[in-house]
Amino acid sequence: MAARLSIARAVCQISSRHTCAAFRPVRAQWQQPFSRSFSYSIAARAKKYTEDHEWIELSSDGKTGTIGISTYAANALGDVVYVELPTSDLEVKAGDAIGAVESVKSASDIISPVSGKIIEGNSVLEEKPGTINKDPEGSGWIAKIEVADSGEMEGLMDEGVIRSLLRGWSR
Amino acid sequence: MWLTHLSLPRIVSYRHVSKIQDNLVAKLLAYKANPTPTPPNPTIITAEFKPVYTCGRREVGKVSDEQQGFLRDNGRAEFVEALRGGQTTFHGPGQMVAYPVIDLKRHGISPREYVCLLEKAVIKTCARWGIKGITTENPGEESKIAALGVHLRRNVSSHGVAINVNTDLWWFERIVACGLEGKKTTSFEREGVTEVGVGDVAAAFVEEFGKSLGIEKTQVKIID
Repeated sequence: MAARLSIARAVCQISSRHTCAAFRPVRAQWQQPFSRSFSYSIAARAKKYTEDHEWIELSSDGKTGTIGISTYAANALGDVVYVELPTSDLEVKAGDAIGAVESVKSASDIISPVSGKIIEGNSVLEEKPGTINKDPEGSGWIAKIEVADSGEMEGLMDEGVIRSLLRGWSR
Repeated sequence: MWLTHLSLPRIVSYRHVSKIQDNLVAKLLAYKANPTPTPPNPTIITAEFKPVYTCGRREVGKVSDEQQGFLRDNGRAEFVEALRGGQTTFHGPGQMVAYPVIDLKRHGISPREYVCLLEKAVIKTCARWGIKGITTENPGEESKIAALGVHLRRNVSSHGVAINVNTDLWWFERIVACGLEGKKTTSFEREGVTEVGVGDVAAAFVEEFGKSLGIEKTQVKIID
């Protein structure tokens, strides 16, 4: 029951922030010069999610991506006790496992959202796996990848889409 | 929705069950990648293994040859690296192993809730024979009667739980089970419940597991 409640709490937090995210850019477009709202929309498009709650954010040149798990996924897993990181130079295809996140008694594969070559794993997580719980979409990133085909990003979901799916998933 | 119960009544090798499990996981993942009108049934394998020590994902590659040699005990037991969560444990005759292969998303549960659900199904199963179970911060012990370790890939589960019915507990005395120092292992038999077989506990667990998922109908397939 406690677990159920805490999930409900997590969903509430996400939906309330979703409201903010949905409204801010509209206001920005209206109030600010065109060039600014343009750069915002590029940034917004550059971060995408898989339906299993991995995220990937492209660098400004579109050549490298940073991969992690979403805030929702980190909450749903519980306290992370161990992270299995990919090794550098590992060639992967979209959908391949690049490591795992272990919480109490369960290990979940981390799936690469795109094809490419792993540049590095986040070594901070070796010593402090709990960073994933504290800042899953920031300092708790899992790996950096040299993206083979940025076109693969097109098949992934925007933040708004994943959040609306979430509402359907959670009971 | 039906729950398929694949029941392996004979004592089998860990690898044999692994193959069946991998096959079920592959089918479910293939379905998720390209959905067809009928999704594969949620399935639970129950089995009794030949003696085998398995380590968990964070120990893969870290158990030395010498340690492996000790665990194998002159060929009396096997040693296998598993990709599940949790740490080293033992499986063998007299122990009921249950591996559910289900898509957590289809059942609307998170990984954490799933671990909780398995724990509760173990507790309810034990309670049927008057054994009171509790979970602690490291789930499953005071005296440990059950071990739990799950692997998830795209929310598809594998591995699961092992309940000691009349396991020779000597196998556990040689290791620090689940990384928990000073915890003793117990069994139905050690708790004074002797008139029960591995198959009875398997049937009870599958029923409790199905109920907690909200599935009432079970279809049993015996794999001899």
